[in-house]
Amino acid sequence: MNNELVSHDTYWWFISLLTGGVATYWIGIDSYRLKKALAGDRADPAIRDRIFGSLVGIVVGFVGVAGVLLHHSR
Amino acid sequence: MASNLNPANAITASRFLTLPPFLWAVDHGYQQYATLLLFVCGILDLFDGAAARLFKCQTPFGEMFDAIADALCYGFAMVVVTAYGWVPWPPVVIIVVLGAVNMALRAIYAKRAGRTTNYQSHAMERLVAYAAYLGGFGTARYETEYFYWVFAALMIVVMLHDTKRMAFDPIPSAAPRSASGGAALEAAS
Repeated sequence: MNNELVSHDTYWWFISLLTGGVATYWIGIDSYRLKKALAGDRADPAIRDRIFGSLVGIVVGFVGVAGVLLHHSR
Repeated sequence: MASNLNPANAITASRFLTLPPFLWAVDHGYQQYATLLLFVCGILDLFDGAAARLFKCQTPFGEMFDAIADALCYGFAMVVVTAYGWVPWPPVVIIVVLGAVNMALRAIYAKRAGRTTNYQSHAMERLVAYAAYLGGFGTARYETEYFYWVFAALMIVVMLHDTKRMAFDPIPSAAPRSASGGAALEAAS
């Protein structure tokens, strides 16, 4: 059985594009959600959860983008 | 309340079917097939929530089942690629231990609430999506040291936050049940 479905370069570019694309989308969508949450009542624990969750989402997005750049800088 | 035998839970259950072929693929060194199976598992993870909303079959059991399936599927993938030496093991140990602590805390939360409920952690939802990628990075051998160690660090931070929320903070009471049960689920989280 052949190990490869596509060429190795195609495979790694697919991983890079998927990771970079989803990470960029994540930064955008969670920035929007953070802005919405910050407009809410910050004394409400549920709102604070959303703020924290969006901050984590933005960080994860940057982690993804940085990982892709790191990979292609080697 | 919708039955627990519904399309959404069927989709969630089908994710487990990807695990044996995933193990087979890793065991044979078929990186791309392993990645593809993880990708399918991830797509099904997106569909079960959409199916629950489409067919109006959201249930407290379904929410718990989805969370359990996430932990088992992505945890299994992570453990397998670690066992085969494709990723560094120390961050995986941290992640698995914290994952077990997370499940225990959810059980404590449900007991404190006195009903079947799943604590909705917005931060952990982001990490679960990241965790789905960890298996893929492992099968592709793609910057594994970087992604795994960063994930472990983020999980420590999120767990500290969620521990306070699940174990110590007051639990919101459930809203009156609607036909779909969706409102009760929202209030419980």
